[in-house]
Amino acid sequence: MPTVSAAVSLGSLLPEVLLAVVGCALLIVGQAARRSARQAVTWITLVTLIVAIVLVRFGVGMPAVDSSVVSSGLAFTSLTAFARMVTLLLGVLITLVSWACPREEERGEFFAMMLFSLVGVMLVASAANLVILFLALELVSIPTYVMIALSRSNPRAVESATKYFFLGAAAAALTAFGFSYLYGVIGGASLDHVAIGRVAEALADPAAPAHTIAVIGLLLSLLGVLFKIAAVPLHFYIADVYQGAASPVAGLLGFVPKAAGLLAIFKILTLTQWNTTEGTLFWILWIVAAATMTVGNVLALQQTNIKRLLAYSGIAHSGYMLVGILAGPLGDGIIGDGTAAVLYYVVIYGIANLCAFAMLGVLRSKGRPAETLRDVAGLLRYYPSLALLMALAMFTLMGLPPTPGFWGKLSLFGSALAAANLVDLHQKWIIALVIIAVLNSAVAAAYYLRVIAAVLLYETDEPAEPSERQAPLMGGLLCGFLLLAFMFYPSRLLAMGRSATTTLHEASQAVVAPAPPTEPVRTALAEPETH
Amino acid sequence: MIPRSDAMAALGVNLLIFLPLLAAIVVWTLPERREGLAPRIALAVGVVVFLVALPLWLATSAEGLLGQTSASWIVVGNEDVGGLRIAYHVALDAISAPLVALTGLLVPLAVWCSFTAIKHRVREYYAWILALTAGMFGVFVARDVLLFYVFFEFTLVPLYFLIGIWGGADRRYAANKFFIYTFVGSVITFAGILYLAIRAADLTGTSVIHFDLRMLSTLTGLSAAEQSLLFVAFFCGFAIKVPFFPLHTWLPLAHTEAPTAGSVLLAGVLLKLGTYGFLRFSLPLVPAGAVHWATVMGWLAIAGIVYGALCCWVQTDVKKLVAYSSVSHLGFCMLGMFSLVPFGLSGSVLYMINHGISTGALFLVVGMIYERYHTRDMNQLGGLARKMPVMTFFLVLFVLSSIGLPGLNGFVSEFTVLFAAYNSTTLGPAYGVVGASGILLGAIYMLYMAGRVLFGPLKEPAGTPDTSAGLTTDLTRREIAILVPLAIAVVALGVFPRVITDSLDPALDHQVMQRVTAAAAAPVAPFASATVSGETPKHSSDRRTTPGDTRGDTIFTREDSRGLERLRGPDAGVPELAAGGF
Repeated sequence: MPTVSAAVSLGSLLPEVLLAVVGCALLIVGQAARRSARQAVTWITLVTLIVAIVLVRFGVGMPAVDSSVVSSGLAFTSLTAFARMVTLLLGVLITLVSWACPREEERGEFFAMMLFSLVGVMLVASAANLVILFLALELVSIPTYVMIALSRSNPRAVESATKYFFLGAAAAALTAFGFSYLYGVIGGASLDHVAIGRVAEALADPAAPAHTIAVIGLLLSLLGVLFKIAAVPLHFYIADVYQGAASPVAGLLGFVPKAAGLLAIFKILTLTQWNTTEGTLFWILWIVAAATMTVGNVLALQQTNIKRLLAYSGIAHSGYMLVGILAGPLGDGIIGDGTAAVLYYVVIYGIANLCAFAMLGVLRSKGRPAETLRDVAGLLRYYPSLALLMALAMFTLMGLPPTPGFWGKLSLFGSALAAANLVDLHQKWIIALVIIAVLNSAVAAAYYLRVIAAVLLYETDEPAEPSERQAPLMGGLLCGFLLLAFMFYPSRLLAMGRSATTTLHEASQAVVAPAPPTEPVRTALAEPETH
Repeated sequence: MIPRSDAMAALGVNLLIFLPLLAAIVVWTLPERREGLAPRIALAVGVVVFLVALPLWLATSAEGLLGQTSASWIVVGNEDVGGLRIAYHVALDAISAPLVALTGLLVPLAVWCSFTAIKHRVREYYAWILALTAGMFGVFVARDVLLFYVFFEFTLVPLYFLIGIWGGADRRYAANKFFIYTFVGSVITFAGILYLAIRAADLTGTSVIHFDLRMLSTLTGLSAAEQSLLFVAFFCGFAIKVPFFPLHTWLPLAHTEAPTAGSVLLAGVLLKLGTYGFLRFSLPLVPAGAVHWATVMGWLAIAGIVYGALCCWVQTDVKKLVAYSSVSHLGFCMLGMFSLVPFGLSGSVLYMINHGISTGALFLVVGMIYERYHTRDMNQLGGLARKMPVMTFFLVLFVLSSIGLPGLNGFVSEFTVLFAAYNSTTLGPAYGVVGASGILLGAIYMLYMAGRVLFGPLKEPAGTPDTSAGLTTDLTRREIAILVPLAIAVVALGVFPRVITDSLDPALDHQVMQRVTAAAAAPVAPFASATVSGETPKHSSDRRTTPGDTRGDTIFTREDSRGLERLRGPDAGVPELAAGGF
């Protein structure tokens, strides 16, 4: 394992550092007396993100792939590369969509917070230490509370920000509590092979005193992270939060906390060597996944407010992704690898969700932002491109072939079936979960169709009006373009997701058998050398 | 016009999908002042696809694929690290070609019949019809199971909009019901396809999961239990599409509310996606499952025949009556298929074609009446023969074809199907007898309808016939021109069904029957792969000369074979085929 000096590790953080520094600068620029300076904020954000994309694309800031800087608490792997790329890409889209969303004098704070939040997601992907992981997760969440409050002048925004803040803090406390138990089991904060060995050892022997501690630690930390992806039973906040926030921010909430939460789940489950098809962990994930998608879809069926509808559908999508997580990264190829499918899916879901919210953000009905089905009715006749973009987003979320959402469901559910093919124990239950999942996606069709019907089938004499701003429309169009591109050419993104999970794959196979109790450290460290 | 080279055929096959798709975009984006061009462009495209589809069908032979195009679409990973491959693989063979020709025939007629009926959102309307056309052709020519599924689902979207925007009063409810009903079924089919592909990759020892139809339909080694469950998974999607009793409840509503062109394409082609799915996927991919469930399928089929017919009897809405008759008729189609005898299968395919022509034509005529009288209620209409003699001629012809008058197309397929059910060992005489009662009921409700609408004292709602949209009291020349091709097809297929069956029979035998026979011969051996796959071709090629020699439970007997020959003429025997993959 190469030893890396502190200087190099700072250089390898270049994209994150760039975003953070610019974020701090925006806090100052946003307060400038001159109006033109304040208006430059959005442009600065956009340019920064694009520069960061270029940096990541050409490998600046990445040491050699898979070389770890474990001692500093960060490991730069292919997962980091993937997370950086898609976070920055979504960041560009979010910037465009929320271009004019906050008031002008608050724009500096708003976009600074957005950049900090994106940095958080990228750091979650590279965290190799419990403390860093926790800090990175908080770095994702805390700015989103601020963004919700800043996004509209409506008191409901403050209400939803407060609600989100308190519940988020409670969830963070759960995570921290769980991490402290894991710390006890591991005997350190580092999430390396030693840690995997210790946790595996504790889990393997139910009689061992560390066993209970390990199980409690895992469950609590998972529970805290499940809040981030709004999985049952920690899903109650989401509809109110989405409804209170301005539409572009609700679009952001569909990607940023979800991506961070899923990456954190990856990190936590890697500790268990992805033993997700056995024992307690299997049942927990199975029940949570089944409940999450069913509850999300059933609640969404009853909504007439599109923001609430999308919020509940977001719960259901978390459930689909949990199916992929349950399948784990251990199988062969893209179909066998549930985590790769999750990475693909979270990006597609993020884009489609953002596209839908971008349309809602653009439209104003009777002077208020469009929210309900009635508000967007009959759009096709007057603004066909907006209506078709909305329909494309809905069809993608529905998972209708050949939209990119369908390829996502194909790989998610395929991975679960492939996992069922590998294991003997819970084969029938895994297949049952897939059946529940496909039936849920059919149920979901019912409410997505309601939106599509409102937009395309109904006719109205007083349609919603799009705002004058060009940027959000550009953002929506770009989302639509990406969805179309992934419709016919999803291979690249799927392959990227696949190569991003190689680290998970290797990490979980590094310690095949539980290490001998006396010298777990040596076994764990010796193993990677052979790869 | 017969394509000379395979490259030309391949071009034709791809044209069938991409030309309508491209035209759909063009039509949609026409400027408003050029709106009048939309119907003409759509009709031109319709005629072109007909002129492409017909020679392609005539050029297909019993064996092999015509116009094969294969390209990788989605490829992730490779053999070393494992991966996924979805191919854009299209081709025609003898099973799909007649259905492609049927689609090619109905599309231009459906477009043409909308010229006076559609007056608002004209460009959109023709764009959706063209998109639907692309989807329908795609389903029939796909040789990759996932590609098939993509097209299969894609057809939902245009039809959803056709019903939901241009339909009758209850159109939005009908469109939603149609979409959700079919979507629920097909997602389960999707799970089945995925499971099958993953298992197939496992069994064939490849780490790249792919969905090639040929590979999957020669797969051996699936256990009987697996096949049985997979059959149920396929059933969910296909049976709803058929629509198979008791999953037919979406159909009458969708049909009644749809615009005429939508009903024509729905009855003519889209319902065949379900039966085609059973024939192409359920039978060869999971033959043991098909054998296992054949009796149940037979039961449901005759239940559907009788129930659908009884429903027709009590309808007062002409269009609804024709819609319910589809439930009854497709019961016949499924009965023939699950008799699991060779001529049952070919009768079933013939039934698909004939039902597409006669029911499509009936919907067209009903649509023409509706355009004039704005009602389809039999209590308000009557004696139209006095005012519309030409229409009367066509309606009577299509009614007779639908009830299976000898000499017209319906008779051949209906008779073959019932004969097959009677002689089948999986079903049996009882199924044939009960099924035959459906013919009787069919004659009753159809003639009853024709009698009330056409004959007796003249009854018209006040203020009709409405000739404001350039219509005349009797059919216009355009409408006659729409119906004539169908009338010709009705008579031609009635006197000469061999134009379809000559190439169809051997292909069915080779691709479907051999798999089913092998599965029936080894009903419960879970992993009897090597022996079955090795011996199947020999058995089946021997079958006609030495029937029932080695196995007591063979499902094909000499009597059946003779019966078929009597039915189709002396030299209608099926040529022997060399053993091996198709």
